[in-house]
Amino acid sequence: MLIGMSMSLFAGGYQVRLQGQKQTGMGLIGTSTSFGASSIFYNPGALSMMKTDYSFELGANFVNSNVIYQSTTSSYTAETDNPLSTPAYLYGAAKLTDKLTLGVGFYTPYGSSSKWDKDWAGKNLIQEITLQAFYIQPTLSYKINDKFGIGAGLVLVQGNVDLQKALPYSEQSYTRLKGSDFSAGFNIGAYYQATQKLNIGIAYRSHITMKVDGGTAIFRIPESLESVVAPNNKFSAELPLPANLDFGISYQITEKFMAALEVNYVFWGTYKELSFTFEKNGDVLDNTNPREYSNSLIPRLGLEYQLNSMFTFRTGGYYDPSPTNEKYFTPETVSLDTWAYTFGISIMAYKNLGIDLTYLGTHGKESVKMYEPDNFEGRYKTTASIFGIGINYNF
Amino acid sequence: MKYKYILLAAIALGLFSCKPEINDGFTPSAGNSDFSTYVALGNSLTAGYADGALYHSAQEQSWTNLLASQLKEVGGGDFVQPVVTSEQGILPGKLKLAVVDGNLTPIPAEDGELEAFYPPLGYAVNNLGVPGAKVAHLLAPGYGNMENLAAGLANPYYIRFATTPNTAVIEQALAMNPSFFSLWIGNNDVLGYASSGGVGDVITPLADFTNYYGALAQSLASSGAKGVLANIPEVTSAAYFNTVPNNALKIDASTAAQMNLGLSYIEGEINSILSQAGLPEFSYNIEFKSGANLFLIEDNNFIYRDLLNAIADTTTDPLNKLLMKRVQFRQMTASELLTLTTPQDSLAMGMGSFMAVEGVAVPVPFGIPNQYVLDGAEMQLVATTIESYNAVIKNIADQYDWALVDINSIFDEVKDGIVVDGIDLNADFATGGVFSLDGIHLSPRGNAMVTNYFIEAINNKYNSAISTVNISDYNGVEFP
Repeated sequence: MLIGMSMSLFAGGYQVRLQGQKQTGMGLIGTSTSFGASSIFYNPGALSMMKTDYSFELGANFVNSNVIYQSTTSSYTAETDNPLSTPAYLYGAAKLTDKLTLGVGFYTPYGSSSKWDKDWAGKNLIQEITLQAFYIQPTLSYKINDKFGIGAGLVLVQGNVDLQKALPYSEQSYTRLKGSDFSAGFNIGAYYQATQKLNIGIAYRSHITMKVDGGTAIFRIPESLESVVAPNNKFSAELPLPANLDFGISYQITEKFMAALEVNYVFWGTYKELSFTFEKNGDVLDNTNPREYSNSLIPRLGLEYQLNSMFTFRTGGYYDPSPTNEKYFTPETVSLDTWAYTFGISIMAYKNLGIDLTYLGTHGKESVKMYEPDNFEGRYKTTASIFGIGINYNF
Repeated sequence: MKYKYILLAAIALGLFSCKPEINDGFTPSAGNSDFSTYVALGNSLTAGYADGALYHSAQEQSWTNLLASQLKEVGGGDFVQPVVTSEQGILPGKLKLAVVDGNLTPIPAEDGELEAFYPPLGYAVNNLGVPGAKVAHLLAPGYGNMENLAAGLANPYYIRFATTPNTAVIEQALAMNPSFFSLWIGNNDVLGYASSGGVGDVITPLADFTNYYGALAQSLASSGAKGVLANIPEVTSAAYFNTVPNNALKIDASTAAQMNLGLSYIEGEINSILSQAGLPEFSYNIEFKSGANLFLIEDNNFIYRDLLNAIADTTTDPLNKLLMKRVQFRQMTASELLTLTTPQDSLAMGMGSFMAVEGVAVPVPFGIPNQYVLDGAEMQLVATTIESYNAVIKNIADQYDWALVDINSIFDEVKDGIVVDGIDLNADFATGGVFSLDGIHLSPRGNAMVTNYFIEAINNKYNSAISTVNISDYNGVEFP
């Protein structure tokens, strides 16, 4: 009951796929498309299908996310005051041979934070949380033939977490936990051009367990209680970053018009509980918090229309069902059933240099949710608007 | 030019941040009640008494004041309290928590000067809670008259805000023309007895309680106001009776052996008296063991009480006199309770156990005095009384169709611990968050909790939608 971790607010749980602006523009679909170096994230199998010898992509997103909470037994409302977060990415890929492509991706999928008012009704559950994760993914992709590519990447993650919640011993009492971890996983994919018009992609990102060991725990409590709870402590916790299985198809309806469908199956079921153990006063502080997530399936639809050699327009949408459990919905991770829509424009600005602009809007469905162990209930609603900009250079 | 428009459009989209708004949320409503003039009747709980005193910040965070401020959202008017400006209170007794010899201990607070209760405030108040009031007191003319104080027929807290010396509390309440009232009374009709271990006060007989409560209800009903009643919690659910453990006589094997030796010595003394009187042999049937033992208490029903008292009264040997009294003890049963006021230092020195007495070769038993003990018979009496009081209160609520807060059941549940908004609440002293340092009255957090139960009962009865308060806005006891 003491602490918990929260993830991104604009997607179910931790899955944020703002890792390429072209993909973002069409509903975050990227498994069955080959847009260049950003395939390192979306589908390593598609990387070898890039049409140029070199590809570089660089981009950033400006995330403005909001959560509103209302008590179910009063007119009390609270809103998060989240700072603008700016997840960014950088990819570079080069064809070593005609068949073999090497790439490296750097991306920050969890560059978000959520901040409730210090005195809000749920302050004893969470006041503030920041999660950052820096990913580096060296990737090799191999083109078996002109139609079929496979690829694999090693995923190296540096994760940092920093959270604070109030303690009910005085107005100023709180605990703050800071920790970091370095862990690894993999990302594999295959890409198949079934016909001239039909592309199929499949990708799998492995489960990664973030383990914080010896994180810093501070307890600001009245002095007379410090004999029960040490003011400075160390903690350990584990957080699963679940595996993903993505499958997508895209179809070139006309020369200019392309449609794509994708499903992401997210293995959230591994997120059973969040446990914290402390170096000192473990008998008082150690706690296990049930989460009991369920696997979720995210369907996506995306469209692309190439106006001319200079302008390409994209749009898309998806439905991201909440993986959370009815009994264990915490304001640390306000993950609601979410509808999202996207828009994107790509401009071939100058020779091989392209600029991509996107907008992603999400709407979490207004729902009454409860975290039973803490007897904390409320009506939640979420929105996020994300403006993205990227440049790419392919030659 | 195209670029410019596209960029502008994109930026406009990006900066367009639609903040979410709740559509189907909570809508405050008065339902079929009228909360414009709320008047609170009751005792110390209604007044906002806490930590052994009625002081400024506790009064501000009384459940009545919290309820009144929630009522403002549904048409409630001003709620005037008989404002105490002193943080120390009106009468002495305020406690604070301090670390004494490494332990958190309530000690007398020093938060400035006491505030005089006389002359009276001179303004009419909505909060008519009078600390110490029993049911009959709310009906009694002259309960606010300074001249009656010496005779014990007046109450300083009421003297302070009575509009005229002889106006009864209920009359003053009706003079406010209440549209809504709360009445939480009756605790003191049994609590005074219980909190003094059955020594300091008498229980109001049920027939009297029924008459007085009925008369109060009738007066309130005649005003046309709607209202909410609250019943009486079990005394055993208060920290006052649950903090000092009855089995904290922790001894090692050698101490236990010594005490058993002392016990047989005492038994020998008693039996030599008994055999002279031709009476059968006596045994305490106590065996001290290594570990936790139940305390010894004074036994007013000791089997040879009269005989031993007679000897004590006639003997000229002061030691013998002492012994004849001290041997009238028994061991507590597992269910019997000690009050929060049980002197800890005396316990540490041997009260409740055996104590060395000058001139006696062996330690002498020293039962905990009666006023600190709620024994089995007293508990039984208190429990049945509360049960029958609550039946009266329930009948009245049904009869007039008023809301009823079942504090009895609620506190019973709280005793075992509940969680609200991530905060653990239970009846533990100091750390439980519900009770203030006197162990009977509520902390600000306890008041907030009670406010929400009142709101729940009112909403259910009158189909209203009064907002609850956030428990997390209120603190438990203040830790140093």
